[in-house]
Amino acid sequence: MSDATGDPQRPLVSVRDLKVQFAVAGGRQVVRAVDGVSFDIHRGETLSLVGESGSGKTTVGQALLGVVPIAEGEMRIGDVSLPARTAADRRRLRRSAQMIFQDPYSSLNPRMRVGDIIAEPLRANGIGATRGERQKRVAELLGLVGLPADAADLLPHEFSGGQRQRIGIARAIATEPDFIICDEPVSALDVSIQAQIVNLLGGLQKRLHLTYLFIAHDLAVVRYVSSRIAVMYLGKIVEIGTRDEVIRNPSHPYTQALLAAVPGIDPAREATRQGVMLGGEIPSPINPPSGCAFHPRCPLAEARCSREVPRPHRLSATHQAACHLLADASEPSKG
Amino acid sequence: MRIRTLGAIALAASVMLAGAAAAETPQRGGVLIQAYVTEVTSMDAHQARAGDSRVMLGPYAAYLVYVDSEGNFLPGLATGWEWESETQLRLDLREGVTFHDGTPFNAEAVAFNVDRIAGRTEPAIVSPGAADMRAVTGIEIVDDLTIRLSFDQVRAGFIQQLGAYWAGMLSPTAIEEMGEGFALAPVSAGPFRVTEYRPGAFVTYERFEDFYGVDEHGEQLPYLDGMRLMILPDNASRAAALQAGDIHLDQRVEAAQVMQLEADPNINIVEIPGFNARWIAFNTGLPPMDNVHVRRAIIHAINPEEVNMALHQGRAAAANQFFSPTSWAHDPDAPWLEYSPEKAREEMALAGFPDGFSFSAAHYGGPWRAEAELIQSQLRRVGIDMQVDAMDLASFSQLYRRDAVYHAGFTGHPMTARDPAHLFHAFHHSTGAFADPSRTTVYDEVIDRALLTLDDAERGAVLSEAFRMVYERAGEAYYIWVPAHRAFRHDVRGYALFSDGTSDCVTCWLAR
Amino acid sequence: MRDVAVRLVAGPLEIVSLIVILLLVAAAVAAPLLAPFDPAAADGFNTLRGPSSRNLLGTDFLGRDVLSRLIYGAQVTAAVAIGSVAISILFGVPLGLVSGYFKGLTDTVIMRFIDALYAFPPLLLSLVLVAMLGPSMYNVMIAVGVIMIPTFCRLARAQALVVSAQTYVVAAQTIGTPAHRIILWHLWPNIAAPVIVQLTIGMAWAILAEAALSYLGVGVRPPTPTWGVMLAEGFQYLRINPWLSFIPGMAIFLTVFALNILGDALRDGLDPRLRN
Ligand SMILES: Nc1ncnc2c1ncn2[C@@H]1O[C@H](COP(=O)(O)OP(=O)(O)OP(=O)(O)O)[C@@H](O)[C@H]1O
Ligand SMILES: [Mg+2]
Repeated sequence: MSDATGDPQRPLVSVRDLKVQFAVAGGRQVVRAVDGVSFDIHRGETLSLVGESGSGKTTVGQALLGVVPIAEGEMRIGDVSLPARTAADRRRLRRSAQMIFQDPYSSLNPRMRVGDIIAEPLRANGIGATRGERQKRVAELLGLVGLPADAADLLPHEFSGGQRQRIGIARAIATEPDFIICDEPVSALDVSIQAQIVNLLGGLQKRLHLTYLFIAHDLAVVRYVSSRIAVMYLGKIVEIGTRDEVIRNPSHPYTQALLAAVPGIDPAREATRQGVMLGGEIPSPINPPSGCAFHPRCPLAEARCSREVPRPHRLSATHQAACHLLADASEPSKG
Repeated sequence: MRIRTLGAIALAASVMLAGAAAAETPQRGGVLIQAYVTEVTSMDAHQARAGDSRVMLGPYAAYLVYVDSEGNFLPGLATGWEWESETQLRLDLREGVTFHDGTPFNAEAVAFNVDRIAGRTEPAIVSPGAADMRAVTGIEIVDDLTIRLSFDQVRAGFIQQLGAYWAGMLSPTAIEEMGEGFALAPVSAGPFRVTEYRPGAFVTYERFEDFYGVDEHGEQLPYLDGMRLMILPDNASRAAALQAGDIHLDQRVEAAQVMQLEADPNINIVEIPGFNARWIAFNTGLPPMDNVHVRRAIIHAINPEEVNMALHQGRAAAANQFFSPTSWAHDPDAPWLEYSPEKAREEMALAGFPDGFSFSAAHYGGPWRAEAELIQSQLRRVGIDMQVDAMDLASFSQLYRRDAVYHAGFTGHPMTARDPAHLFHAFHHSTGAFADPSRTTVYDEVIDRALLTLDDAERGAVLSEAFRMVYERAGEAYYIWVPAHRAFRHDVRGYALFSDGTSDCVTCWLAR
Repeated sequence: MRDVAVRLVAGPLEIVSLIVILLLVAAAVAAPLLAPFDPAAADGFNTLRGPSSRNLLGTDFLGRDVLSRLIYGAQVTAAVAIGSVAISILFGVPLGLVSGYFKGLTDTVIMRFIDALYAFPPLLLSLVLVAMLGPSMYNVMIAVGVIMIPTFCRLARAQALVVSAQTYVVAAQTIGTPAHRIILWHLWPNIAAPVIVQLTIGMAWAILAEAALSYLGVGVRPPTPTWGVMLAEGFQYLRINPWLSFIPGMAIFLTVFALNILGDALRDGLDPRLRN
């Protein structure tokens, strides 16, 4: 689904028709983890990618970083087209794009000192020729994420979850990247700490002019951090729009269901959400349902939903959703 | 008692074994379980390569002539033999004998067997008896039961060779029909037929109803219904199996087990004194072993009595020549180099190694392992360093005998397996099967002379001449004559041995 | 590391095991000082004697001092245990790490080779190897080391598969850390603990393998004493003097037992789950 903002400025990140597939069961079956995803991210903004577990969010991020091979589609970060073909491009990409991981425990090597963990991207990318230079930079980074400089000599298990996530953030910003993929950076943390990390990410974004792809499985956190929100279901983006458009005017039944699960949101269209509670489980991406992949769980589903794949429907210049019902309702005017 | 002939020649005293009271009447039936230390190289008698194969071959293979433990020739498939001239031998064959497969035994069959051993049949085989049978230059089938063999020259000791382990008379039809498979299901005319043979594991035998042999009362032999022979390479396990009653008979008891078995009241031990000669063969072609003083130093440094006491509980005897007193070829007056560390040091000085020297030796396990280790320690006391390598027989044959890369090899021979001149030939003639790796020809003339001398006394004198040559060259280091032992449980009766120390159990029976 | 040390000596069994191993090492290192006699000096007129004030553990079938042979035998035992395990770790662990990290074709090729190695009965393979290389202590080390390569390779591979699925390895990949450094920095330190535990088991196994090879007569060249040789020789005189095989057998048993106990203790000590 294309994101035609009409902005004359070229987006920092651009993804078109991305498909990622994994062979499973010894190559006899294919998981369509990402099945035709398109979006742009502009410099300095935060695009949130929301969806249930298994919808393919992480895979999108990993495709952007070149950790998983892509089956189809075009991607670009800055000037570099993906997958990067030359070694120079790869090096540039690694410096300019980084990732923050969901699990602050498994994402830090338990047997490496914090200083070495943070210095790893510097060593890997040949930044900071000497050990002294790297140590200085590590101290600086620790300061940026709000950790004391002597943390460098400790092992990860000596820190709390929130502190460990700060270490992960320090590692991600070490190479001064433009673009950071935050893969559910707070969902493993205590609620009381989530806000601190979200604030830290927000502060760093301003200070370092960062662009974020912020992955989350619910809309609770996302509403504070996002410029725009994309909702993913079974490898496809079903709705994308600015934060307010998606939160206040959720147009896809799936988005509505996700919002219904978030306490404290006071949307304008209370009525439409009634009965839109998400039942059942997300189907397997090995054998996705026919037509609209959401139809088996959709309370509003009609006969054609199981037959035809819905096309993205433009609700505003920045807001689109893929649902047959919208097409009906808006065919005469709406726009 | 072992009876083969009209003349009823009983086997000598050594076969009258404890528990086998002469008055006892043999009981028929039962399966005798015996064990042996090692596998035959082939169950095809013609192609077996070691004298002790007779343990496994004997029960099924029938021979023209048998040699008892006293060295007497007993009629087998041949009832008579006569040198009609110095180079012509007539054999009278036993009447009414058939092979296990029903093929009649006759002069035709003997001719086939002689030719096959000589390597003259298709496909040609390689038999250890090839040289003996190639000496047969003419075969005349006089009638069905009479055959005349002609020789290129005088062949002293040929009759004895007819009793050698490889000289079994095998069924010509079975050989032709089975080809390669013959070795797995061999057919002859012996007291038992082979019913199953698992190489490396066991052989089972079944009584051959039509066996020609009878005992002194005219009773059909054998008494047993069958036998099972198991290969149990571990000496201690074999002894333990015997004591536990899992086997009736152990056809090879090593010195280390003798004491243990002697203490067991259920077990009888047979001792065959002076049976095995053990010695170190020198590769006289490889320096420093080419130096006679080096060789003498080694011989003087070996203390045979210590080997005897440590490893044979004093049952063995220090050796001083190739033949032990059990052989008629033994020379009581032969000179030898006695144990003397002083003389060893003198010889070392003469050799130019007053502070010692080093040499390599090989052996192929068995009793040599311990003996080599003890002798190694003895040599070290005078400063001689012997590096010992253990290997299997095949490697030994290749590395020591063929490639001649070792200075010395531990070897030995059983005393009475063959005619003495033939045995001496095998180890000393440049064409002998086990000759010094340097293939020295120094003994060839005297050996050839011995082989051409038909009279035993004269032949003994020629052999004594050869012994003196060995002494003068210090050509090999004899150190010990070791008795052989067999052991069986008390319920086994009638166990008798051939001259080569094996038994086919034809007269064995189980008392119940 | 202190945790590990504490855990190692946590119980009486562990303390005894540690003492056994230290005694073995001490005997191996100081054999010439400790042994009362030349372990190879035979005395054929003084064989198979029981313990006496001269020969504290008696004499063997060639009249050699059993105590001296036991002490010198510790040298070979220790050397073979350490040497062969070192060989198998040196080859097995890197192969397993590479195999488990790269997966795919690399994995297939390496594991084919390892499986082929593993398909041989281990003792038979080392027998063949020693027969090919010739009898010496170093060749026994090589032969025993080679047959343990698959064990270490498979262990390292299985662990590498687990560890390379960890997010910190994905993180390292996104950072751009080269494969060899990922293996060195991230995989190896995190699989070291099970390898160390396997090391003690491997040593125990190597001691038994050396004993078996010596028992079969293809091990270390005589007259060098090894416990396996002593056991094999003693076995021939089991009924007459059971001590001859009991003493080296006990030495082998105690060492193997101690190594197993220490292996268990190490596993507990090195397990991060048990750490906090
Ligand atoms: N390496 C892989 N091999 C096979 N299948 C994979 C692999 N990685 C992901 N998948 C599958 O692809 C689908 C999408 O996975 P992904 O991790 O991208 O989802 P997600 O939206 O990030 O979920 P979560 O919220 O659980 O992180 C899932 O069905 C997952 O099982
Ligand atoms: Mg995810």
